[in-house]
Amino acid sequence: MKHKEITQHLVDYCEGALTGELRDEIERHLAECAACRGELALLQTAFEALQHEPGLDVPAHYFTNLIPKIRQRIDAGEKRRIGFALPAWIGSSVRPLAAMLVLGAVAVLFRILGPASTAASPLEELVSQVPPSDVDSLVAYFSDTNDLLHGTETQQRILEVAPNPALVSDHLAGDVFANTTIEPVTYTDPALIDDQVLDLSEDDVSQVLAELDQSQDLNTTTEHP
Amino acid sequence: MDQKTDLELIGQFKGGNEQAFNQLVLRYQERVYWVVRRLLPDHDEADDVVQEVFVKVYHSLGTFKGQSSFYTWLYRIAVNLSLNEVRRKKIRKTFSLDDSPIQHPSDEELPIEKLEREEQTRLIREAVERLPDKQKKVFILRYYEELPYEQIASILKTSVGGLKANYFHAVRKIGAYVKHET
Repeated sequence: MKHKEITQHLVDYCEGALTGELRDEIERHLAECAACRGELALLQTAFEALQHEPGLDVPAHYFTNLIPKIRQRIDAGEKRRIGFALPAWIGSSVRPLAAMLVLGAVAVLFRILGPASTAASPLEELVSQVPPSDVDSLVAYFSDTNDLLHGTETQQRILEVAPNPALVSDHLAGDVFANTTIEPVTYTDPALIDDQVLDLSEDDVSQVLAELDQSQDLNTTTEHP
Repeated sequence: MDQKTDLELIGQFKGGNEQAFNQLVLRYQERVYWVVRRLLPDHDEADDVVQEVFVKVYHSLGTFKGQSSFYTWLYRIAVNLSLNEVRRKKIRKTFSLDDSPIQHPSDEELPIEKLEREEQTRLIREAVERLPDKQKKVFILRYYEELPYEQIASILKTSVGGLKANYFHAVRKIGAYVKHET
């Protein structure tokens, strides 16, 4: 068995889930392979630490009271973070298109409200016009509308096009952004699209556009160098 | 008393029986809670997401076609909404490892033991939270939920081989982090 194949079985071996010839083969390999012994040691360290991990508390009667709380939210007609449900006759395949249409509408709005420019994208135009504190607001806004506009992706984009990313990063999230590489988020996974792409209504769109409309003052009050 | 299947309950709910939805919640609330809680160690945040999961289920159940099991579908929603919340927290800078409640020590626990336990909790939490999303999902469903690879593959819509690789790398990274920090 090749080295790579061995590592695929190391977790099972570590958990004692292997028997017979396969286990013997792993053990023969381990006896002569220092690299795999190193991998195994890391797995054992992890499992040992996990075994000693204290349990998490849950308040007494939490599960007894959960249904009434859920019912309350349903009855209140709470706007879920993911927005409103589309009519059932609109299939999931249409939802990404709907989300893209709203993004397009937002982009058009940026172009109309923002300063004239032929080179930069609407988002770049907007971000280039605002000081870091307002970029912070923008990111926070898209955080609130995370599902609605694939906000995480937008947040990432804002940071990419910000005129002074270091300053923005410090201002935004300190060590989170300063020390961490943010992994680009893609929504090509059908599972994510099914569950995360937003169902949109006109009210959703109006709300987004209204907030972006308010952000027009970001363009007019800028003092960014 | 006969135990109705998930599909029977869903059928009743679609027919207007609201109690059928309550029964589904009762049946799965604890499992959903613990999946969410592992991804969001703070109880209040987990509680909010759990409610959100079931509200989404309530509104989406009419379109549930039964192509996967209800539980698989439910898990997928719970995992995705939890990770959304994790991302939101990161962006908002409100994410803090230290403000999550830690299990209350017993009265007879010595201060040094309490410290060691809290340190152990912190280490594991940090290690898990640093995992990439995919590995984190796989690790929690496999290690804490003890789900078979086949069911995880169905929930995450990926291959068993890929899952095993992700699980290996997740455990390995946790081990490396614990080793580095201690």
